[in-house]
Amino acid sequence: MTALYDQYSAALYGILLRIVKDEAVAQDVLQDAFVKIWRNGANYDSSKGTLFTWMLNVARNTGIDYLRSKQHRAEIQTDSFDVSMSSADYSTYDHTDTIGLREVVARLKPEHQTVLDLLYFKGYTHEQAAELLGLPLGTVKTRVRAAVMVLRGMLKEKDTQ
Amino acid sequence: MNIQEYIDSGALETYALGLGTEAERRETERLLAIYPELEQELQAIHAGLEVYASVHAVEPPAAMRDTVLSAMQAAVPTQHEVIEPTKVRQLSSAPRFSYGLAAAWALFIVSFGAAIFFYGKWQSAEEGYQGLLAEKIQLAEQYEVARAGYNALADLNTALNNAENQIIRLGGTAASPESSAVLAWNTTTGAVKLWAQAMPANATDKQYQLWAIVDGKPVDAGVFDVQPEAMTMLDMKTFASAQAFAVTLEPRGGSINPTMSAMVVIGEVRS
Repeated sequence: MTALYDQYSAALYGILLRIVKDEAVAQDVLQDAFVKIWRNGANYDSSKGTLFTWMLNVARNTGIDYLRSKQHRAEIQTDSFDVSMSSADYSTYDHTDTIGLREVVARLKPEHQTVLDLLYFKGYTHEQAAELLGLPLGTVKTRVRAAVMVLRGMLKEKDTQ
Repeated sequence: MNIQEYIDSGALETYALGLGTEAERRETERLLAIYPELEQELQAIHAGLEVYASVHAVEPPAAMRDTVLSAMQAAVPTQHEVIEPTKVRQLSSAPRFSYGLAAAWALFIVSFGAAIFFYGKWQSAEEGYQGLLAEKIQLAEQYEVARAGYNALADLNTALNNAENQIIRLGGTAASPESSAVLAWNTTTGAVKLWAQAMPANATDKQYQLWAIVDGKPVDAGVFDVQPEAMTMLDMKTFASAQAFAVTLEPRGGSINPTMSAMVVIGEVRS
């Protein structure tokens, strides 16, 4: 249990900060997420992905559910569309050691990052993202794919698995 | 069904992000079960998204740790209230023997006994379940650590067996005689890989930095951390030429010039 927290809390907290944009709220949601992870451990199926991915999804859903329940939804949609990622916003904890935020940001095209952030951090569906950006649905999907490809490429370079 | 087209459509990313309709999700799961290449692709997508999450990582305040851990502890049901049986009201009429009442009492006693019996059973099953759950999560973690270690050793093995690689042993200096490292330098591509598992773990405010000595001058070849539990074959910067490689212990993030007194290992390139 402590190992679980020590290993993953920074990654989950970082994501939740991006989602809820408020430290106090992020801390509450982080606690909820860990309790859910602990309670629903039985639902984790190692054949469907790593423990980390599963935990990320639980945390992401908890954060996005929080936004929805607080009716932040309407607010988000009219939100001054801030997806430019300033790395100075949060002191980044270099979890992967060799891959830094700045490097990721430098490699991802801004338009790819915009789409990925909407889906990953804001819980948008493809349709909502397409509507917001005034793009065809297919373009949104290919951009997500392109963005993930870049991330995978970075991993391969650093890791050569 | 053209699998490549399916992959290119971005359907797997949709699935990995937990988006898409219920029907799309089921379709993806059906295809995943049939085509192993989709499974591989999905794993790579997960890994990519994990990177994205990791680079956004922020340490939560230290005080959070205890709060969250005790909340997790409380989430495991350990105590259950025993529901007291409702008292049977005395009948106002004079007590008299009744088969019906006797049967009702007998039934009550038997079922109360059964309730206690099954409550005990349920409780031990619940405890067993919580134990198994904790064990399962622990095993999943251990498995991932072991798998990462295996991958790292496989990488080391590949590097050692690659005929293009010059293998250079970096020996410990007087400052750190117990340290050693193995460096694989690809003489064709210039790629440098480093195995630093035989070096002591670095403190969190420090980082090791590899230097290539090119024409007598040290050139930064990248920083890295050594942690015994996170085994990995490190990919460092590429060099077309170098006469030696050395590692120094520097403040986190690395230095512009090496701190010569903090040199831990060094090895010369065979010309």
